[in-house]
Amino acid sequence: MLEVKGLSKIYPARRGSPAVTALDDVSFTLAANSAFGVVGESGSGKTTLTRCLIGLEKPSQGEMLFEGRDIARLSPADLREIRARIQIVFQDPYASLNPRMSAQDIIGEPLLIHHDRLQLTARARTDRVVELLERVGLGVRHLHRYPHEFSGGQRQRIGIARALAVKPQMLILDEPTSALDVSVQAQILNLLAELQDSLKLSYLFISHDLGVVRYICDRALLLLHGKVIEQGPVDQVFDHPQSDYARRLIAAIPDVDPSQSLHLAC
Amino acid sequence: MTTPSTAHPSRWQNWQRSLYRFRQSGLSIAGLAIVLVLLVIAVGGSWIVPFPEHISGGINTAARFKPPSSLYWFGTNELGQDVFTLVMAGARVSLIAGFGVVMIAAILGGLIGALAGYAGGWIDDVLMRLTDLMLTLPSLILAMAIAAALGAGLDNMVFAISMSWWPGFARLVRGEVIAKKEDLFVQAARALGASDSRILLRHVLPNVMSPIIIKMSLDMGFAILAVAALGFIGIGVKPPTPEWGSLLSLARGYLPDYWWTAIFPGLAIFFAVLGFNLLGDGLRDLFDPKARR
Amino acid sequence: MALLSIENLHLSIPSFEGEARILNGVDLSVERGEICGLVGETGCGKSLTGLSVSKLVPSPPARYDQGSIRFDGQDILALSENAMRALRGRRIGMIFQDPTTNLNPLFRIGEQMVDVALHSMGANRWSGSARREARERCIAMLERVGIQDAHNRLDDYPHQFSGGMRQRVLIAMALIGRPDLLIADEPTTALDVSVQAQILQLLFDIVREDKIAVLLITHNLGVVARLCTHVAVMYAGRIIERGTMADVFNQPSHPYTKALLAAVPTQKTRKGTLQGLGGSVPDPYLPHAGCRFAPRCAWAEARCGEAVPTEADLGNGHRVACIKAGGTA
Repeated sequence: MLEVKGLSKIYPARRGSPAVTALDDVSFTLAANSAFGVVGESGSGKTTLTRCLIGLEKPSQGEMLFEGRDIARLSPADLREIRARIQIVFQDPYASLNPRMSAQDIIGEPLLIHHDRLQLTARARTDRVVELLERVGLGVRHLHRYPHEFSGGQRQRIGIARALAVKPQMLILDEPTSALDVSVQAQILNLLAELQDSLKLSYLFISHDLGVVRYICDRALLLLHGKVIEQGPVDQVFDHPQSDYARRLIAAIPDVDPSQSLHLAC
Repeated sequence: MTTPSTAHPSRWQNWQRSLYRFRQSGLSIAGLAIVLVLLVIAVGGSWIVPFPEHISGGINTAARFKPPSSLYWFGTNELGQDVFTLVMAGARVSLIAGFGVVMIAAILGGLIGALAGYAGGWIDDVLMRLTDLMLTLPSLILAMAIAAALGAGLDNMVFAISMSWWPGFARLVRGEVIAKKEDLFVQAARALGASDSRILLRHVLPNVMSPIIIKMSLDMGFAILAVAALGFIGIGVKPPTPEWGSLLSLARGYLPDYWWTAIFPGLAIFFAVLGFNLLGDGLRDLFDPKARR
Repeated sequence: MALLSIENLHLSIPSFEGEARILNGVDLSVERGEICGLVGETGCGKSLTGLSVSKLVPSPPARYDQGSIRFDGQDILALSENAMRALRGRRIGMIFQDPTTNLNPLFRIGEQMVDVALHSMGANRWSGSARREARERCIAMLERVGIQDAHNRLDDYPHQFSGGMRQRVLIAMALIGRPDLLIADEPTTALDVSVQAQILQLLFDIVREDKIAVLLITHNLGVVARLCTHVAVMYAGRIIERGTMADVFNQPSHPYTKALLAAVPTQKTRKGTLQGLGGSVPDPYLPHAGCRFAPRCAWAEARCGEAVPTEADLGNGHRVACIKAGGTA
């Protein structure tokens, strides 16, 4: 579905600051109907990777082939078409929804933007929005509410509904649960798993939370300073990491397991 | 920590909550009251005043310089005109002029600022240098020059003042647009493939309206003051149309003996400026409760 | 008597919607040498509990209707603002979530730290010798929290430090008055996992060496498992289960604690099998009877709605407020 080959992004030197290599020869393949995790700490290049994939940044080198076509070399018209097929769910559901738009306007916006291809009447758009609300566990009663009237989990459901509106084949999930409470995170993760199954979606799951990636993803890669440190099936990456960095990172994750208590260590 | 919201307040409740917040401050209510009274006078002034003929220049030489009395509440001037009538009638000119100035300045400045902030790059540079240039010219002098070139009169005066007024709005809107442009929901719209005009009109501008409205309210007072200042130096509205600044200017020659001819137009200007400022502060509290304290 | 003991604390804040009952009878105690984790969902009142201990909840409008907070025998709620100021920074230290917003970007780290140190020493700000001594203390404390070359870094501005380093500086500032109690509100939430692990280790070492008491407010159960000796689970303004970390995590007895623990994906969790917790946190404006968790509880019965359950002692200080776990209504 998505094949990234030798992707690099170098921000050129500016006055006072040297050139920064945000991505260094990153390659991976996302198979259809699978979930691929990208794990890294801040400054690892996760965000740059996302921005390249949705066309907000131009990579310095390499290819991003979506069904054989390189995203970076598309005409603006083709890029718009690709944007309908790769959608993104953002990290912070408090900031990613326009506070002055109702749930209907937010979820319906992609339908309007891609109106030239979808050709939905106003009535059909509303029906589709309601269908999407129900799909993500909300309902028609939420149609005219504004973001501040929703809880964090509900907002993220709206963000997911917006991403699903134009029937994409692939979702980029940019830390979709890191701003949520664990109880809500579990619901959202299950919703994502269920949607992937029923809609045959592919996920690119960006996260710093290894537990979440392991739960949702089939394969994963680990980024450090823009370089791929580990890559493979999640079991292999997390249980038998090859690099020291991966081992240290995995050891640093606090598990909900009393036996790893610091108090027991002494 | 965030306090949990109650189970889905309706829009009506939100509106009530805003009103509750607004009412918390007695001063904003006072500002609103002053502004409402001014509006009523501006609209209905010519019907409720005791001597409507004085508005269109009628004079009564028999009753020159009468002090305030039950007949002439604010006394009479050197032409025997009722000062109360003139002050009431002046409200219309002041409000129309002030509103005109603020609207033109907000729309022109808003468009320039939004374009500069959203486009960035050389467009931003050119537009903002132009704005800076306008800001460096003393506004009253600029207005005087324009008024002198175009001639006196209400519409020329409004145009003249607006030309020196828009840079303030341009700067405000540019700053707000630049801040909002980086917001995640704007990036989300961009990732969906939304066009620039859609992003600007649907996502950025609606979220920068509050500060613009607040500034418009605050500026109304100062615009009225600027109108009065131009009237005072004699390049504003032409007599006999009553205008607070020109009333004050004419009365200047008769101080201190006939103080009422000056004091009442002066008080009118004072209350109008005060009213719009208090209202603007109240609106700021309403739109942004965090700014309080 | 415990160093910090909170008994039956009730806090309400009036607003347009009515009275928000934020705390509804919090019972909690922390001894020296203990690290007590206070966990719960957003809006359960855990942050306001922490702020109450250092009396930082603006009151009015907030009101403490019942209950007490005792710190080393003193009744915190009865203390004057002046007396509180003497406690804060000297005997009670605080660390907050976001290390970027709690340092003034315009002043050097040293200036900000020396001010805190002088306050904690109760010394004259203008005395040169006191300033020199305060500076020495700052350097020693920065070294202790793992900042190398502390002598020179004291003259750096906050932006010259990374996020993890800034959090270390804030911990150093909180510790410089040698407090007996440290209140840490989500101290590692904004940090990367590897930095988080270092900060947790640092807090652990400090507690072990100085025998201070820590109240750690967090929503991250993994952090609690790694660092805390004790844990208190909060729901809708009450502690519903508390005890040693091992007891609570190994034998969670309140349905809410069980649900929280089941919501965290672990190694063994298979896709689609994670247990979410339906419903949402109860509305603090609505009056209630009985157990506040009952509407979301899978095991709730009719009698759960009748009265607020009292705490039952399961032994070893493990207490749970649920009638089905032995509590009485």
